[in-house]
Amino acid sequence: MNPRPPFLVASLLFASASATAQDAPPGPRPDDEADLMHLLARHGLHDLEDERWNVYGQLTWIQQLKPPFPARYTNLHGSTNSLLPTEEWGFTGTATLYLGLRLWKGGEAYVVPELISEHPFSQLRGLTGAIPDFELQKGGTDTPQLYRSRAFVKETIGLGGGRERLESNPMQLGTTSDRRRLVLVVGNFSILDFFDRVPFGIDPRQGLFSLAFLTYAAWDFASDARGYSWGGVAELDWDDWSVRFGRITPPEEPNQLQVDFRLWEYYGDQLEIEHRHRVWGLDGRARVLGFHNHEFMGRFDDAVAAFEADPQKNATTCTGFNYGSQNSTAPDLCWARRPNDKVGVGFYLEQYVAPDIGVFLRGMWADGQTEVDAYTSADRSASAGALARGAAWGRPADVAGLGLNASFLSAAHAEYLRLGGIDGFIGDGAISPAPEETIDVFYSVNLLAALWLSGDYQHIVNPAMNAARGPVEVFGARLHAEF
Amino acid sequence: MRSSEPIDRLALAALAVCAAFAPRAAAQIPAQGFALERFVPSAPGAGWFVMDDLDIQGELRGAVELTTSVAHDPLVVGGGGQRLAVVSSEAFADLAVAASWKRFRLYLDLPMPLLLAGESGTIDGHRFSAPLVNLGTNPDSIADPSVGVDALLAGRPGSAFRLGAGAQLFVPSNGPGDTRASYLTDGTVRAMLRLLAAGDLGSYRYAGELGGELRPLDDWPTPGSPQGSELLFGAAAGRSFPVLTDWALIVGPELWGETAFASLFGSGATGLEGLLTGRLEGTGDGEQLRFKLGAGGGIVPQFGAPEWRVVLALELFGGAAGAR
Repeated sequence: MNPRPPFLVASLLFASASATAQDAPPGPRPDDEADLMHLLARHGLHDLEDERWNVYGQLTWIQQLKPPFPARYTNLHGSTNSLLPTEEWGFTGTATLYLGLRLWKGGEAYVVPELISEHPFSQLRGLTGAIPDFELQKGGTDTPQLYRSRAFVKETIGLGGGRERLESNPMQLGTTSDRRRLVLVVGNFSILDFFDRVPFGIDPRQGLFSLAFLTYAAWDFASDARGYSWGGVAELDWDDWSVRFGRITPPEEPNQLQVDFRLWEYYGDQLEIEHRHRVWGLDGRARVLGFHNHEFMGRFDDAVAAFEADPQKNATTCTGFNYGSQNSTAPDLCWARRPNDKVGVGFYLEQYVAPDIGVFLRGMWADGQTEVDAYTSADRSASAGALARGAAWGRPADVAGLGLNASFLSAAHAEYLRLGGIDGFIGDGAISPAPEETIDVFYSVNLLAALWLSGDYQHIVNPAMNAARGPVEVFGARLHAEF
Repeated sequence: MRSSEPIDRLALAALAVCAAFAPRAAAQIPAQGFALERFVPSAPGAGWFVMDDLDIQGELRGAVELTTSVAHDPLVVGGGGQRLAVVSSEAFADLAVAASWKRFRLYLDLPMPLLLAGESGTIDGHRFSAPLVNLGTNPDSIADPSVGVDALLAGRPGSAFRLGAGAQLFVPSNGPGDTRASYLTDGTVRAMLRLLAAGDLGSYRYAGELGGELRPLDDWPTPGSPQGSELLFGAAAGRSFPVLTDWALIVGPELWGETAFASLFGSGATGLEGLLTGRLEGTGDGEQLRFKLGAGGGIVPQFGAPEWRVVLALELFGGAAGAR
């Protein structure tokens, strides 16, 4: 899907007014960073260029307010997935420790424990790509929970092509490596650590707030309820090209924490090809990503067919895994779950238009025949945006950005929702189908060496793809520290 | 991503069935579960599996250790001629990192459960439910992580007698699978305070500890369950054999146990466990590797001490610059 013209125009207009770039999630640190590794290096106690180990950390708090918004109906006929039209406050708080250890020449291990506390609007119901805080991808509760987000081993096999320095960063040991290399990863990770990396290497915790800009909203990548997966990734870097393939685990039940390890039976496969280029002396990159999930999930048309053949097969009578709808006049995916496939293809482009300003475009089409299994309910998505670092106005550690996203439903998904069905996140009991659109604008002020305070505004049209509800305004603030 | 807890009607039906039989089951007291694991590795760089050789010295140094433990029958309860292995299989992987400076060491231990399984049943009116924990059900669990600090109070590395003290704080992770019913946590903060001793006598090494665990949970009279705070004790001894160049093999037994203050050394409130250990460690300067293997079991196989246990560890530590 290509973004609609107004999005492009707005992105370029914003871009013309003002960004820098690096690479790798969760975001690289500049050399003068006030973190432990750089502190030790400055005292001659650590070698950043040939690291045996490193430790980084971060703390982030995001607070958001959703004022009341108009809605012709909410949770119609006992449906349960509407965004509540009342005022709500939400928050996420995360604390993360990134531990890296060189095992042998070319071999590295990373473990990342993370603490999360969260309170989403309406129990995270009623939005697709427009979920206003990307951290909500990780399931959590008001009570802080500690979990291991990542534990993986990475082997790098040099293939020549000259040497390049890899900077010390979270989940990257400082070293030098062949420019041409094969990187193999096995373990527990986020697929976003390796695929569709964030635009311009700007850490999402310093960037756009909305989930819509973390990756393709329509990429229902296999993962557990927190967005993490087990499996393997292979990446071949060859000069300006990279090719990546990964096979990862899906959840046992859609959108749940329990993982199905039968990778030969249920899996998510993704293939990404990336090309890095320079246009008028400015860096850019383009990517194509395709995915194929084979998971235990329901097709919308199967659920509808089951209900139409026997109205007793509705949301209230199914004894298997379901989302708790009380709508007895609606189909339910619970009756349709079996091994099914989901495929999609996406395109991404990022380009610096000035030394500190970058614009990006991202779009994905997925077949939209099956329910959301891990990420968002969007079947197709398109986004565009611009990110800028504040060097142009004398504040190089500040970050500003604007993003626009539209998420779309497939016909089969819309029909299922029209009949009152719900999936993991949306279903108002009825629907007036329309694209769910988000505008997200933020400014992040660097308060101290490694402390940022951000303000954010989001305008969401047609929440849950339903023109009968909204628009929704969301105001947010974020405090982010790195160490 | 998850929007809310699912409603599993099978589970509701099961609850309804349980409710229907509630009057008949009223005499049964459900066991709530607790933090079962008694194998708490010492800090990375501490040498032994549970004891501490107090090799704390010099400028800033680091250590990292991965320890795996597999235990059989760590929780078996009995009564009235019955025997119930509530937890028959238990496996953990512990990842720990440590930093030491001069006479102090700070460390973080992240225990990750790999397997807990057993059988459900009723013993003496107490209804036990077996845990079901594996990587599928608990893909990202860190059960009761801890942070600890050790200090070398007297002596120096390599001396005949060293005295130290250690404190360790355990915090519940509150993860959805890290529950009392899973036998992964007490659901409360716990703390250990220990007096440590160690020494080198020629090629012989020894270590010991005496301390207490501040444990709020008291589930008495549920069999096998904690009864509040506990006395901790342990000792280890071994002989070092030079192997190749700059390597040493240290072989010897290690014993540790605990008993509830409320029933000091009483039956059902005391556990004692032993391992025959062997460790191969680098003795040169700079970063060194240490491979550790231990096998043993419960000498008093109750109160969390299993019938048998096998442990394996790999450690990278900051070397013995200037020592020995």
